[in-house]
Amino acid sequence: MKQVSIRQLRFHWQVYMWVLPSLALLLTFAYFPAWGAIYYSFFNWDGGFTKEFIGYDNYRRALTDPYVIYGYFIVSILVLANLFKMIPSIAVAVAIHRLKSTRFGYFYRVLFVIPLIIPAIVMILIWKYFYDPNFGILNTFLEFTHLMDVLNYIDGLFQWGVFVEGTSPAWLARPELIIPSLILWGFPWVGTIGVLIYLSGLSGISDHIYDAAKIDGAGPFRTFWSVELPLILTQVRINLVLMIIGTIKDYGLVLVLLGNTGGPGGAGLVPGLYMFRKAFYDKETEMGYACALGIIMFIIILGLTFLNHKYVRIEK
Amino acid sequence: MSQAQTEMASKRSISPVIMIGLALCIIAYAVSIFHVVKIRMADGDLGTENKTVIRLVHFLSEKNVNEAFNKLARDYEELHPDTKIVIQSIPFRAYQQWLNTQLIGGTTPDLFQLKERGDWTMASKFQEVLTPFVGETNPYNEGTELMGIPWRDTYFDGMEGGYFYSLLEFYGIPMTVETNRIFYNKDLFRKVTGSDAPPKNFRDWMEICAAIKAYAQTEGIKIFPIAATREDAREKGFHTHYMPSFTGGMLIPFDVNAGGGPTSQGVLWGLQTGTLDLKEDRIRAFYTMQRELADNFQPGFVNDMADQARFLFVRQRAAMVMGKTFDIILYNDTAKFEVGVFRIPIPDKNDPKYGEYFMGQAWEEPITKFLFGLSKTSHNKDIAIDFMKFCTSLRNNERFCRQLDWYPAIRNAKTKEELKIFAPVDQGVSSFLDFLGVPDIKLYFDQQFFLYLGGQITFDEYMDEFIRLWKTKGEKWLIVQRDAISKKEIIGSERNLAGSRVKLLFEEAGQMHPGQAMGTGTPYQLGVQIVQAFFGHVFTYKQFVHERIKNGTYSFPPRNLMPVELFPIPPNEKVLSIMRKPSGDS
Repeated sequence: MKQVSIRQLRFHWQVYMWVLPSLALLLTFAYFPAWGAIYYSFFNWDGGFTKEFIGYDNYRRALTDPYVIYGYFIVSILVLANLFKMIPSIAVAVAIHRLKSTRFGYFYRVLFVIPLIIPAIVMILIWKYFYDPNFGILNTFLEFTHLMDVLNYIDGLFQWGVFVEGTSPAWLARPELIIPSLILWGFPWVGTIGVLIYLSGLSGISDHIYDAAKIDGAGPFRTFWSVELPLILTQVRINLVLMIIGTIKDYGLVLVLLGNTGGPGGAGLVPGLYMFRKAFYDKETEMGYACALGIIMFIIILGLTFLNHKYVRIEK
Repeated sequence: MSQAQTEMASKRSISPVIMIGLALCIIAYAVSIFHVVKIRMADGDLGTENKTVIRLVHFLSEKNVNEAFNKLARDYEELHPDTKIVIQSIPFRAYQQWLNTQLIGGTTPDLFQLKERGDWTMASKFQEVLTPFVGETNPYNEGTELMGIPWRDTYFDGMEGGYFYSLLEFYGIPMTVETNRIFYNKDLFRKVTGSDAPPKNFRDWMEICAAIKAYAQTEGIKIFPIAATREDAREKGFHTHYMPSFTGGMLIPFDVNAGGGPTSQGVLWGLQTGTLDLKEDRIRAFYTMQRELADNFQPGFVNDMADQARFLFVRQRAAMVMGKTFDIILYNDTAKFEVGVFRIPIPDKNDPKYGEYFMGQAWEEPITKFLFGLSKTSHNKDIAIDFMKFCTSLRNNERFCRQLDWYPAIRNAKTKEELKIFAPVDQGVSSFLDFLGVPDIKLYFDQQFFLYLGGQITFDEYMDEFIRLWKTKGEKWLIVQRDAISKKEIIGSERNLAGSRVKLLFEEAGQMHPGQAMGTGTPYQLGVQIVQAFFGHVFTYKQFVHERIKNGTYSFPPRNLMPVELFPIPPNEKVLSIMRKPSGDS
C-alpha cells in the first residue's frame, strides 16, 4: 500500500478538510450514540439523575431475563416464517422478468415502486383494521367463506377455546393468535424492495444463458431452478441479511398492532419492543438496562450476519 | 460568425422558458422573505399596524375553539386598542414538531398550549416562570366576588394544574377542567330499556349492559354495551377510578414514609412483614368487579385506541363510551342521536357482590387543564400575561367555557345545567397503594391483567405471580433505587417530596435523611414548604377523609386503622412573601 507522507498530507490538506464535516457528522450522530450506549450499559441509569456504575449486572440480568429469552424465541419463529415469506417475492420477480411485453414489465415494476412512497405505518394500520374482530375484513372473509366453521370445528377437536361458535376471534387480543397474526401480516408477502432487488439480479442474466437452457430442453421450472435462482443468489443473500436484521431489531409493527406491552400475556413482546419499553416507557425508565439490551441485539445481529456471509456461499 | 459559432452561442443563451421559471422562483423567494420578515416584525415589536402583537397557539382543531378564542381576543383588543391578539391553531399531530422548530428557532409564540402537565425539560428551557404573576390579583375580576383575590386563588384548585412539582414553580395557565364520564346513546337506551335515564348505581349499570346484549342478540345486530380502549381498562381508566373505592383505606397502615400518597415502598413493606395480603377480600372484590365490567366491552378492546371506541359509539355500534369533557363537542357535532352523560356508576351499600367492600365514591383530582405556557422569548410578557388574566377572569372564563360546553376552571363561574355533570367529585376516597410502581411489575400488569379480564387466567393465578414478583424483582429494584438515589442529590420528584412532608407535619422528624440537601434552611426545604403552603387544601381534604374513616362512615375493617392525625397547614405568610418576589430577586 502506498504510504502518504506528512509532506503530501500538508500539500493535500484542503482535500482532507473537505472530508472533515462528513466525518464530524458521522462521529457525532452514528459513533457517539453507539459509544454512549456501550458506556451507559454498565450503569444503573434512569436517563436522568440516577446513575450508578454496576459493571456487568445489566448483561447478567439480560441473559436470565425471561422477557428477553421469550423475546428472542418469538423472533426466531418470525425469522423462520420470514424465510418462507421470501419465496413469493422471488416467484413474482421471476414472473415479471419473464413477461414477453417490455411495456407490461415496466408497468409492473412501477407498480412495485409506488407502494414505497406509502409510509409503512399506514400499511400496518390497514392490517390492524383487517384484524379487527368486529368489523375487520379477515373475520368477514372467514365467515363469508365458511372457513370460520372449519376453524370452529378444529377448535372443538383440540379444545383450544380460541374459535368459539357465535363469537368473532380477536386476532390481536388472544395470546394464542398473536404469533399467527404476526406471521400472516403482509399476505401474500410480496415485498416491494425484495422484488425490485431480485429483478435487478434477473435483469443481469444474459439472453445467451436462457438460449442455452432452451437448447438443453429446460422447461420453465428447470430454468428457474438451474439458471435463475443460482444467478440471483447474491440478491437472495442481501435480502436474507436485510430480513434477519429487520426481523430482530424491528418493533414498530408489534408496537402499532399490539401496543407497548406486546399484547395480552406479552405474546408479541419482541426484544426491540422490550428495549424500547425499558428505555422510554416504564414508570421508572431503565435506560442503562435498555442500552445493554441494545448492545446484545447488536452482537446477535453481527454474529448472524457473519454466519450468513460465511456459510451462505455463492458460486457462479 | 461561422455556423458552428452561431450554434455554440445559441446553446449558451438561456431559453425563455428557463428565464420565466427563474423569475418565478425569484418572485416566490422574495414573497416568502417578505412574509417571514413581516411575521418576525409583528412578533412582539411594534409592527406595521403600530400595534403590539401577542400570538397564542393551541392544538385543538375544532372550529368553535378558535371562534371562542377569537371572541376573547377581539374583546381584549377593544379594551387595549394598541394590542393585536393573533390566535393560531396547529393540528395536534403536527403540533410537537411545529413547536420544537419554533422553540429552537427562537420564534415561539408568546403563549402556547402545553401538551403535558409537568414537562420540566421543556419548562426549564423555554418557558417563563409564572410564579411571580400568579400571586398578583386579576384586574379583570373587578366588580366580581373574586375582586382582590390573588390570581391563583381564583381557580378552584388553587391553579395546581399549572404547578410543576419537579421545578417548584408555576409554568402553566389553565382554562378548564377535564374529568372522565360515560357518554351514552339516549335513543338506544329508550329502545332497549324504555327509559333514557342513566343508571343509578353499578348494579343498575350492569343490568342495562345485559339488556343491551340481549337486545343485540334478539335483533341479530352487532351492538356492544360499552366501547372501551386499552387505556380505559388500564390504570388511567376504570382501574384507577375504582381502586381507591375498594382499597383507599389500606394506605394508612402502609404509608411508611407518612407521605400521604401512594408509594411502592409501602406495598413492599406490607408484603415483607406479612401485614399486607394482596389476595384479601377487598382486592379480590375489586378485581372481580373489573372483570364483570370488561365483559361488556367490545371484543378485542385491548388493541383499540380512543378513535376506534369513539367510532363504535358514533356509528351506534356501542351504547356507551368513556370520554373526557372535551369529547362533548365531538359527540354533539357528529352523533346522529341524542347523547347523554353520566358519572361512572359506583356500587351502593346494598350491592350483593361489592357493597360490603366499597368505601365510597372515588375522589377526582380537581386539577385544571388546557394549559398555556409563556415563552421565554416573548417580547411582551406582561401584555401576554394580562391577556391570559383577561381570559381567565370570572366573566370571561365563564363565557369561554359556556361557548365551548366546557367546565370552567374559575371559582364561582356559572355553567350550563347539563355540564354540571363534569364537575370533579371533590369529596371521596383518594389514596390507595401504588401496586404498579416497579417497572417489571408494571409490565406484568400490562400483559397479564388483560388475560385476567378476558377470563384466561384466574385471580389467584394472576395474584400469585404478582406477589412473587413484588417479593423478588420489586425488592431488588427498590433497593437499587434507594442506594442509587442516596448517593446522589435528591431528585425533585413528587415521590421524594412526599417523603419529606413528614418534616412539615412533625418538626421533630427533621433529621430523617441526614446528609441530603433537605435540611432546615436549604432551598429544597423552602421549596417543600412552598408546596405545602399552596396545597394545604389537599391535606384539608385528606383530613376530611380520615375523619370519615375515624367516624366509621367508611366500612373497612378497623384492624387496619392507625391513629394518624393530619392537620391542614395554614398558608405561611413568610413563605408566601418569598414566593411572591419576582424571579431573580433572591
